[in-house]
Amino acid sequence: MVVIHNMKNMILSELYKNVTLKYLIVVFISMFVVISAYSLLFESAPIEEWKENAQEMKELQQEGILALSKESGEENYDKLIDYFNGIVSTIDYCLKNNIPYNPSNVYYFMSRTTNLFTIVIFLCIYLCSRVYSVESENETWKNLVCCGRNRNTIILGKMIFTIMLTCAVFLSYAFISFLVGLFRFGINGNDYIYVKMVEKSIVESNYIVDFFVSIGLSLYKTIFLIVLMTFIYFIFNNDKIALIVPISTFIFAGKINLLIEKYRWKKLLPFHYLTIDMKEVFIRSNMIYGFIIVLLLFMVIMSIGISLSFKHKEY
Amino acid sequence: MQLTINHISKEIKGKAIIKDISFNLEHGDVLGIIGPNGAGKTTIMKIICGLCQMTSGSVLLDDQPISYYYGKKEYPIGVMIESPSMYKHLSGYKNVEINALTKGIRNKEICNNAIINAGLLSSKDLRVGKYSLGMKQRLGIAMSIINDPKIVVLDEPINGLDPDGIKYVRELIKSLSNKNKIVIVSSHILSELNLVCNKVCFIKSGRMVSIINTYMESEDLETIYGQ
Repeated sequence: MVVIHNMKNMILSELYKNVTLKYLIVVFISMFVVISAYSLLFESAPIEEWKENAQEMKELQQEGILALSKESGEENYDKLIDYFNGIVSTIDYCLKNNIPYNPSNVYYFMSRTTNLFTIVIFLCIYLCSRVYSVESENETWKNLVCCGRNRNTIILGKMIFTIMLTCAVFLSYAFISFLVGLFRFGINGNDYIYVKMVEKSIVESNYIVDFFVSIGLSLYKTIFLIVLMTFIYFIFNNDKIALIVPISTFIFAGKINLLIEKYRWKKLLPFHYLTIDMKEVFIRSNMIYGFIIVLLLFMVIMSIGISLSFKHKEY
Repeated sequence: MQLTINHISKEIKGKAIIKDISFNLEHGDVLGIIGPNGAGKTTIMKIICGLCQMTSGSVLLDDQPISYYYGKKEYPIGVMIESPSMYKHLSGYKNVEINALTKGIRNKEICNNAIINAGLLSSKDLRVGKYSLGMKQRLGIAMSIINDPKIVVLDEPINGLDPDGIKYVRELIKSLSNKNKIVIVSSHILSELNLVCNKVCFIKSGRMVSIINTYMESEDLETIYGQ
């Protein structure tokens, strides 16, 4: 009970020192502005017009296929033709089964906002790095160390707080996306079932479920990157390096993965899994186990490193 | 209650910073640590409160190492080492509240009393970044004793204080001693230490030159320090 009480107090103290009213206003307004600006890229149309719009889209794809077929058979063109054919088949399936194709409603918009998750991930890394740098900037590590708590409790409190902060940011993002989508497009037919191509076959899916699966994947990646940031912070004792390393890791994970593609052990490194997206989860469902286990293993190893490093630090 | 410092030494990269320091303090004792800059006064204080690790020796409170008290409901040590450290973007009150929370205290009345006792009631909502050095020093001391610790470690507590502030610290140390707390204090102002300490420890180049009981000395500290 005492341990839980201490931990609750540590987390609450982190909340007091890191989250102010000004901070909340800035974060919420920034999210609102970005999502609202993004919503302007989508056209708002009544649900009754979806068949007409889908037909138009189908014709556009067919024209594209025709134009590309006239070019010499390059591999890239073949891939494009396959992609366009996939869209045509999807539209045909939608028309046949009366499932609105890309409906102009809140659920479709929410599913599109997953494209902005990279920004949310960077925001989370920045906000969480402040949890540590606020102590360095104010030289308050010594206050924490002298407060009579075990050093592991102090660091665990901070790590739990960063995870809670990350979850709060993602949930706020989901909520604001919903509000903006609702305001701009409305429920508009209340259709949340959609059709997509997975491995050249058509499957029905759910916008809401997929949106939250996407959030789950990104959240897990973000937590990994935050543990990496904490690890770097304690190893190098430098706020800026701690901020740059996880952001660079996330940006260049794909490139690093390409460099090590020929090696079998690439699946034992996190880079392979940091590039994973919803599409891959559906194509290779067993990949999700590797994603969870490998990232978790690295998080545990880094957490042990953080604990050992903090234990021997002198202030 | 007894604080035993037992042959503590500290080396950094093979260089001895503290060499074989030992002393015993009992409840009500006020120990002043005196020495030139770089003598190791702050390092001794840091070792006592766990900010620094010692190479050898032990620090025992009632025969238990300090780490024994980690996570306990009442942590027995209150500390203000070097300049007071606070979150400059937050108010004085918020800083006290955060400090209290990390020590397991979730009581607004205790926080308010700490602010009132430090004489900072009128500026409790002001950002600490705007506080003067004296105000920060008062707040730092208030934060160090918020959990009513048995041992209070104050490093240069009268630095930057005006005469009123110095008087406040002097009276505070005396009242802590009257409440049977152990107080360890360092200062360059020997006359101040003379007024509040019953024991004085002279440190030079990491070694303890001597420890005296001020009540038993006829000469003042400046004369003894000169010798």
